[in-house]
Amino acid sequence: MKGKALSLLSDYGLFVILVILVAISALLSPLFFTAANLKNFISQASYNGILSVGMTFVILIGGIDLSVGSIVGFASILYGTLMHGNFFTFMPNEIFIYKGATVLTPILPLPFDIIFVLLIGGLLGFLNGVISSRFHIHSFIVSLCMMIFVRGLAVSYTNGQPLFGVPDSISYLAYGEPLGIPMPAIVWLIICIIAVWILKYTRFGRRIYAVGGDEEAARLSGIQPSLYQIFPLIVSGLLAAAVGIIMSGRMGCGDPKIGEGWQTDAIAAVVIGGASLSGGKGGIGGTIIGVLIMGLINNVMNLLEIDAYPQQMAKGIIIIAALAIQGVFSARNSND
Amino acid sequence: MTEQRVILEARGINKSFPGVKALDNVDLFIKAGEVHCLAGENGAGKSTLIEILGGTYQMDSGELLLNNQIINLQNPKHAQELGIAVLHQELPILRDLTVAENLFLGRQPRSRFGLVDYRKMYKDAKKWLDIISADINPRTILGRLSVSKQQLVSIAKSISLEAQIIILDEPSAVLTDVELKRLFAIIASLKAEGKGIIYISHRLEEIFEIGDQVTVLRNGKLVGSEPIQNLNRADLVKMLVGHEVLESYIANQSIDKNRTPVFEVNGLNHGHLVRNINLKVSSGEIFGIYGLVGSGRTELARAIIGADRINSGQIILDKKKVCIKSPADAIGYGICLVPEDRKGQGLLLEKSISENISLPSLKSLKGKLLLNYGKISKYSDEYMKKLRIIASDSGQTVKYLSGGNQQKVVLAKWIGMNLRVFIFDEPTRGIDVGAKEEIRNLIRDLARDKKSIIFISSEIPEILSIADRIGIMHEGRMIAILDRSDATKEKLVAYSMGGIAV
Amino acid sequence: MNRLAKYISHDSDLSIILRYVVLLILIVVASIMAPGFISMQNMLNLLRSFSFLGFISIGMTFVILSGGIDLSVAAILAFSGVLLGLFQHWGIYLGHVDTLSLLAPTPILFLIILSIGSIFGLINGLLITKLRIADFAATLGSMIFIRGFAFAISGGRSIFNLDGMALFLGRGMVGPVPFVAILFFISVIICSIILRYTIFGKRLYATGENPIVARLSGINPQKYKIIAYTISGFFASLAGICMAGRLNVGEPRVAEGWELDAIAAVVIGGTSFAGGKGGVINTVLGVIIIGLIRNILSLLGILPDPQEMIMGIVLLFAIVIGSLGTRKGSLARV
Repeated sequence: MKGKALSLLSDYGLFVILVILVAISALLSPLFFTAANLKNFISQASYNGILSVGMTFVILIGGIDLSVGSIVGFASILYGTLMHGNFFTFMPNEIFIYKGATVLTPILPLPFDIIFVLLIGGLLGFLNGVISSRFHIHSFIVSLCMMIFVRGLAVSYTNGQPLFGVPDSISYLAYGEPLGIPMPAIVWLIICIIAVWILKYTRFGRRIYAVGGDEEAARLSGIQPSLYQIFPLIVSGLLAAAVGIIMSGRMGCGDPKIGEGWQTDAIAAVVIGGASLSGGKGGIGGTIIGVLIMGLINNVMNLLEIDAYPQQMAKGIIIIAALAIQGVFSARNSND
Repeated sequence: MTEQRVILEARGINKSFPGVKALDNVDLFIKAGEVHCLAGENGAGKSTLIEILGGTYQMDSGELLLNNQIINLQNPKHAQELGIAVLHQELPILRDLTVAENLFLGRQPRSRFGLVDYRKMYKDAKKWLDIISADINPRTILGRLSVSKQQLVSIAKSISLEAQIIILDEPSAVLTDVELKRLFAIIASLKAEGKGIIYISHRLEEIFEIGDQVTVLRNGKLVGSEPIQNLNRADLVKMLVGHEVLESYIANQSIDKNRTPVFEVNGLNHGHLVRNINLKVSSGEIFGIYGLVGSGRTELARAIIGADRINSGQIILDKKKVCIKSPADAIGYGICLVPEDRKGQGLLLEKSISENISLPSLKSLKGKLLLNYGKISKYSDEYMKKLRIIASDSGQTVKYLSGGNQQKVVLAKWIGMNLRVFIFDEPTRGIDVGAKEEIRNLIRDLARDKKSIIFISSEIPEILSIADRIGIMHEGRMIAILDRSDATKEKLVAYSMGGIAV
Repeated sequence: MNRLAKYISHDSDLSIILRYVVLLILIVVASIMAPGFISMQNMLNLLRSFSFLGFISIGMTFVILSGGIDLSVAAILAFSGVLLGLFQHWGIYLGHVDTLSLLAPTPILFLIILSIGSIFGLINGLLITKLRIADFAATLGSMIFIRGFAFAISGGRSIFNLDGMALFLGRGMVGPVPFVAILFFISVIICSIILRYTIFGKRLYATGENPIVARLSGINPQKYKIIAYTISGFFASLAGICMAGRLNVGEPRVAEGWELDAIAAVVIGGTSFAGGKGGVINTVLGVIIIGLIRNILSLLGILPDPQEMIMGIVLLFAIVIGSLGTRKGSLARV
């Protein structure tokens, strides 16, 4: 009976925690349940939400992608460069004098610039995946190197300067509110739907679970693992690039420094959502709740005007606590 | 009896692994509507054969014919597509997915739009589970089911593949009696549908109950293939055992005449493979444990030395109860284990002979403050010489030694430590014949030194040549303990397959 | 010595030679680019600048030998420096910023900080062994926490001006030799003695190479893993104190990303990710190679950010090379 109660708790516990957190937030700050704050909360959460979808894919195969924060920054500056017609003149720093350059001279017409940036993001993810799969190096270490490389690339590209000016269509992605719903949230929702479709309703997605759960069992069932190990990292890189584009819209500039440390929020959200770091367990539903929980904690800490630094400490503790709870649970299950 | 059509033919299959000829020119003919039992002792080559049929291993030579067509299996997927389904002994399952997912892993039913059709998947899963009358909800997470229910799911899976050939590798090991009856009923109905079934079991009575034909392998060679009705139990046992010359048992002079037990195990329980084990070993005695793979021998050894936590039971040394919670405790009391998996559990493969030999006894090789390499070197040279380990010197990396020499290094780790109880788990597996005898002689020497020895082996001639008493394990229980004088090959085989002596 | 060689096994290793070749090439390149490179003075300066990374790499060597990985070292380094600044400016909470006001005599402060660093390491070890959290995940969490902690206690400010003893640690000279380099080499010697000539060392190697074999040989692998993380915490904190002394500031932003440099130094040195193979002397070689690459990049006039980019590739390359031949999935152990 106790086991049943526990499994119920692990099935629905997350949702209960979310509800409790909402209640606490409302009690702590009267500002919480205002339309402005809720809109702000949901659009803030959306950025992490989109990254977390990619991270869910990666964690499902037992990997981790630390490079997403850097890819956000790289995509942002890459997009900015595309807007200023200088993409092919990658030159030493002095030549780049972008300050005040708000006249847009896009190299590619509208949908293609976005597609191009997304493809580059996907390519970076692909590199993560291939190196980690081919050389059997855990993706956390490959993506750690990638994180440093991509950030260095992004920052040195414009000597750390932001590139101002983005087209209205991109600003709309960040600030638009069709039907009163913030655009980032809509993008997040669409991505979630696609992700659920892939993970839950295609054989491809189910095979990702199989490979993450037990590579050998998957192989015996006639699945070739390497494709399913590389694909999630591509998704993660691609979605990070998407976040980078929307962030450019939000800030009105391409900023190479944006996204620093965001990978940890994404990891935290996925882990809180119940995914196992050893792979094979987790899903978009859990991740959405994880993102909302992380977002709520951020939002409330901001409303209570807690400094950024204790906030960071809290995140470290939340990650460890979520993992510790998982560890204790799985230890108990395996003892049965 | 009407002539049945042969659906699967394997002719002249050869397969070698480094150092071992696993299959030597083996033939196998599977007819439609036949339950074909595959029997043999451990290491006879049964598993290798089915791995080849299932596409996991590639054969070195020989040919496979399916419905008179030559086939060339590439991988497990290919075998599945051709209609050969294997139920593996080690269940390849995904604990975090539902029962239905596991049933249809990689081949989930799809709706018109190419999406996984969950409703149909659950319905189909329910259908297959109903066919084998398993009361399991297809939506349950597999990891939450008992082991026997998980096995039923795997059985349902191998049937659901609707293959022509279904290979069941010891499906009965974890099933309850009721579930086993159901399994037999399922096999009967599959037979009626004209499928070919390869059934591997370590239980004699099962072979007689459901088998039509039995093929016996021994040491990778085909011993024979006979219709079951032409055989009785004694015949089958004879086929399994063969007529090898027994190595002579050298009477052990060193056993304590009163047989006062030095080492006792009382009512030891651990999981489902160590059930209420009692045994006593006196000083200078070699107590043999015989059992098939999966009978719980290794689990018993691990439980004794505290490598796995026991559920209940006592270990008694010199009439005093000792509390062993870890291998370190066991070593402290003078009990050690030479594990079955030499490379994975016995040796640090990347390290030198000297480093391996001295690992457990570093404390005695310390100077005042630091390790004394002079001592270590002398110590390991001494035991290298004593055990006749053949290597250029004690600095050689053990990875490059032969199996026999590697095993001697593992022995050397413990022999120098002045321990009292030695547990050997398959100490001669995968070693050439000469080295085997050397290892056995080393163990006899230990007995002469008044050590108590537990010797686990699945080779009957070996255990008969060395053990003073033999305990036989079957499905986690010690079902008989025989004195050397009473023990025969036939008895060991019969007991280990869960029967009584013929 | 002959006996030792016999014990350690003469598994000849071409890749070690390769590492010396790389080192030689780097030295040649550097001396061509900067004529003063070969001078004694420059060598000693370089030694000093390598020492800080050197300390955390020593700790990382213990952890990687035990089969783990520690991402929190750079955060512990920063935290310890900030702590030193705070402890020496205790009056900061009373509004006096620039004057020294020691909480306790400086040697005692060192002891306290080193203990705190070690405790962070200990906690990492406990999280990993007792709560069964994956090595990288646990230390990633503590990295975020500790770095945040460093910012929180300093309010994000740099705490300038430390006392003489702290400065001596980072800047002092003994004759012509920087004190911190001496400290580093003493640490290297002590640690290689520990790894080679003590039971602890032997058991740590055994734990890292194969915890199952270690356990069946009467070793408690968890204990050795915990100690390895504790040592790593200790050295990270020692590096933090010295670094603060060198820069004369307790700075929460210091050494960001150094955990990767340390990992790379250990791996370039030839210590295997699979655990159980390598040693501190090898790591010194790795530290020097990493340090020289950075030095050459600076000599080339490459700015910090592109330097990071190039280092990212160098590190990835080093890790890929270092992992060739290790057994499959050795890092995927969870």
